[in-house]
Amino acid sequence: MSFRRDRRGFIFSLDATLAMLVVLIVMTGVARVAGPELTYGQHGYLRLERYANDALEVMELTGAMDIIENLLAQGEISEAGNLAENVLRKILPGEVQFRLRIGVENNPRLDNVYPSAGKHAEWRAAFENAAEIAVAARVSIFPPENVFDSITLYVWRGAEI
Amino acid sequence: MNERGQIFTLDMFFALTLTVLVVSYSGLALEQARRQADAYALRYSLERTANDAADVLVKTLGWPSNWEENTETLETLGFAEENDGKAVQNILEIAKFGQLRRLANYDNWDAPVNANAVKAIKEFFGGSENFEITIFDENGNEMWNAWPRWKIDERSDAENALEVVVVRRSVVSRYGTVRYESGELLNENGGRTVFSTDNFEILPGELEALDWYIILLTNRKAGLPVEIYINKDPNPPPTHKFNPPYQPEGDFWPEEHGGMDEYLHVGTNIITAVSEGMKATWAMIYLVAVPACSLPENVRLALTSLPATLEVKLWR
Repeated sequence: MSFRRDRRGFIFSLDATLAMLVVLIVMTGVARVAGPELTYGQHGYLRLERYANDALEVMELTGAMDIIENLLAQGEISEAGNLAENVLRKILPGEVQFRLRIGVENNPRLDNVYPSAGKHAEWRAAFENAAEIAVAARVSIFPPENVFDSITLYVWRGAEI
Repeated sequence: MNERGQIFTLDMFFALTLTVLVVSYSGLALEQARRQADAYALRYSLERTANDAADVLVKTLGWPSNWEENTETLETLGFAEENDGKAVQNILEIAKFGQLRRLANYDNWDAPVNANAVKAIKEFFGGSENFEITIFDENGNEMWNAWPRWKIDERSDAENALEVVVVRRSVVSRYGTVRYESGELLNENGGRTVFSTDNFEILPGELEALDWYIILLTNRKAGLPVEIYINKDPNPPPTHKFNPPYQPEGDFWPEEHGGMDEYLHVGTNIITAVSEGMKATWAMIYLVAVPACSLPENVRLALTSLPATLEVKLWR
């Protein structure tokens, strides 16, 4: 027997490498199927979105939103922001952070309502870097002009600052 | 001579080794894939059931819509408050939760009389008994919970479960149901004044599901005792006499666990208020029901709608 003459007898050929690669890809895929991140991906966002919608719904049902709108109409923006912050902090779970804006993006009636007073730069950075953000919106009529304006609540998962 | 023509070569040995390895690993990989797929399906199913169940509980009345009046007819759970025949989403009707709590109690869950309702509840949670529903107040304190065969001072099996799914929904809850409201009873001329007798209904199962209390609001203007007569003529001794000084947030009776069940019965009950207040004083009387075994000090919360959290826990 001569190994020099039989050149087809590779222990590990390119074919085998490719085959192993395919097998590894399949196994990795199988391992990922039941990974917690996939289950989270399918239900975690749903929960986040429901947190946001429920929070706005509860604010309306308890009358907190009416009070906030009236405070804004009276120009008491700081009080409106404090009330919104306190109410949302009570409604949403501790691991869920939020940003509330009333009015349009470039000319809001109230903006930058975060889970704690101050530290707006840090909260803004946390909001912008959040991996996943769910949004809930409502439209309301605002006195004294009686114009429609949007109420937008952004929520994301993250630690308190 | 053909030098390649051998029965067992080193090439073949390597080839066989590789084949055996690949077959073994394929078997292991398949087994792992099957196990992971099973685990994923179970987890997905738990998540899905918990999310859907919580959504249905806070957004629908259940079926039939008045199932709390006769739990034998229960087909689908739902806790939403009813207004004009429609569900008010995210507002809990605590009497419905109270009935679920009664059905899930240790003494009732396996009772033949509740078999249909229990079957409907289990189907609602994907055919499983591994569920727990808890209501927290706005400060995160646990108000009430219920799970199959629950007992006071015991916890559910969720703590020992391999896999638990928890879904929380923000809601508004009244913490009780107001069954009778007197309105403002004005003692126009002062002295003993007997106000008109009113009726209120108690449905089958409600005496067990709920604890009953009377709340008196006086705004501190009723200077003299207010007497309450339940299912009896307004002649002393009264069922209960509220004496001043009155609490600004309202007085309630009885101030102990269990409420005043012994004075009530299923069907039509009557209530009469008598004021011995000074001229131009007034009182407001409420008869409220809170889920059985509630803390008496929370009874006054039954008059206000407050933010709360409904938590649905499922496990395997």
